[in-house]
Amino acid sequence: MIQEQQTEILLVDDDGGNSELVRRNLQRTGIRNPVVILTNGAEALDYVFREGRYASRAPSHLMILLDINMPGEVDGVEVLRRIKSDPLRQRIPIVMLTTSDDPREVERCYALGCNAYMTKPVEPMAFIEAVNRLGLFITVLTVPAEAAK
Amino acid sequence: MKRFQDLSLKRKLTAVSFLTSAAAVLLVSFLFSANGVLADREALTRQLTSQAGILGFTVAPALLFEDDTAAGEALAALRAERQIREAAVFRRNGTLFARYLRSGEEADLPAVPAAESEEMDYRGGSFALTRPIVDERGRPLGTIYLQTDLAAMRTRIYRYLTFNAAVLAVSLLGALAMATVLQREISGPVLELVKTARTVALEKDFGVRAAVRGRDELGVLVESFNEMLGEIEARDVQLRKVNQQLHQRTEELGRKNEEVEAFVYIVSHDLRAPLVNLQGFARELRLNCEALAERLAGAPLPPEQAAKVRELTDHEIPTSLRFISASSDKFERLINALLQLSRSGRRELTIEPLDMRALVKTTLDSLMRLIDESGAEVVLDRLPPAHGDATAIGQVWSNLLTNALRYLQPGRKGKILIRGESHDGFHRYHVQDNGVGMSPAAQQRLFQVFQRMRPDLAQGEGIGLATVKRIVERHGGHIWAESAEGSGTTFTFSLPAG
Repeated sequence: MIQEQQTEILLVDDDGGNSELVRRNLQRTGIRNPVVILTNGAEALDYVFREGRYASRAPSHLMILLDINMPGEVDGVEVLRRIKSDPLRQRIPIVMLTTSDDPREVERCYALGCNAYMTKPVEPMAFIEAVNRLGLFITVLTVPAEAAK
Repeated sequence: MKRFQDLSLKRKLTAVSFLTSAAAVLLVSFLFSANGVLADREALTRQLTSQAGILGFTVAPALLFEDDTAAGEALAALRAERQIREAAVFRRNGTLFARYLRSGEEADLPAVPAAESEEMDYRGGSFALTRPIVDERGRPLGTIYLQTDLAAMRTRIYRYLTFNAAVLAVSLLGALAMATVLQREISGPVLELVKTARTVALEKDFGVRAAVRGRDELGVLVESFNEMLGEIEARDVQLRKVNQQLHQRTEELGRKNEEVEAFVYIVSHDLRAPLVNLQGFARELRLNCEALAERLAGAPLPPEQAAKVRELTDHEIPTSLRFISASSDKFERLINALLQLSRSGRRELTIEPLDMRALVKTTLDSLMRLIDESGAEVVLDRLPPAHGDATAIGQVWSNLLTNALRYLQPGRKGKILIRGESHDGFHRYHVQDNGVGMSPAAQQRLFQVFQRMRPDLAQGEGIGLATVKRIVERHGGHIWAESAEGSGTTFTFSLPAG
């Protein structure tokens, strides 16, 4: 029933609460893809480039929801820049998360090569729409509410 | 020819002193000449008179004894006097007795030369004298006539006048030379003063000074001028210093203002993240609570427990969550309002000429529903055109008109008058309503953030007027309100004209 090569959804946000809400919302909408939650940029880079504690991770298709503002040296902008400048990984779709629809922030995201942007809080339907717009192949199982129990 | 007023000071002074001296010298020269001529003529008259007297005395016996030979000899002696042209002696009855004529002259005797008394006659180039001849007892014997030419006198007068003219010319040249040299005493300091004044005017250099040459009025003038320059220089330095300070202050204020703007933006921005989580998890809890209620509905519980659980899942928990949601929603609206206010303060303004009437008409069109609902009568009067950002000024009108429409007095037909005028370099615009009005205390806080005057009459976060004030002030204008509780409010904002 579930495909072998499922796209992993990587949620990178220093605000773990937001990622948890996104995860729950996606689940409730019927998306059954594996969700990985990371809370800082350095860890996200390790995960994507399979380095450090993620060196032994099996390669997988990725889609990333990335918070633009994160504390520490590696913020969302830096993560975006590193992935988009790597020939092997630049095609990984990245959706930037911002806290406001300030035009300057939106502009900044697109200048850095992101595929889409979303304002928090992430609405599940907006997420699915963004995925469709990007033409991504994500297994979306629309499970009837009764069957989910 | 230049007018005298336009001549340079040097020329004027030279001309004045030269003309004064020239007038004096000319007058003196004229008087001397006139005096000379008159004195010469008087001398000639005296000479001729005494000659006639002597001749008369000489010929008197000849006349008495009709001895014309003796008379002729006496007259012939006049040859020695070269200027005598003609001489004649007449008898008492007027007939010619004897005569003398200078060689080469023609006779020019008077028609009736008889004279009771002495007569003199200047004509053309000659002078004639007629004098009675009398005996020792004073009885008239006849008349003597003498005529002399004036050639000698003319020569003398000519020489005299030539000399006078030469003296006059030399004097005038001397006067001109002296005037030219001496005028420098006066024009020098004045020209120096003029040069200094021009330097100050052109180069704005208040450090220059005019040289003082003497202790006269000009010296005092130059000194006073220098003192004034000193005063101006001191004030200039002070003014520059104050200007610089003002500039620094303004920059500092601008920086502070930007910091505050940035602070408001960052704070409201960063407050959103935890708020969003709060809202999200409140919703999660609500969903969980519903799921829990469903699961427990089928659970075998004692009735008392089941009632207690239902009380919790159906009332208490949802009520708490509703309060959390309501509060966080309110929190979000406030943050959004703050962000909006912050953005209205940071947005670039595009200043262009605005047709205020057209702008207000567009605004009124967009408020049509609100106007219809309120049943108010809106009158748009004359409005001066303005310079400003169309979007921002449109928002000012929209906020003011929305306020006027929202705070109408229930039960009274609303009237809103929009008018304007120009005053003191500013265009003023008024929105006048007959609504509920405000207390003086409320007017104090009118333009502050989050001030809501009548929550019962209108919804909102209380940033409308704060936004309006920011926009108007960013345009260099002012806004104020006059209001009387129960009878209405007039909002007035001004924008710089031109």
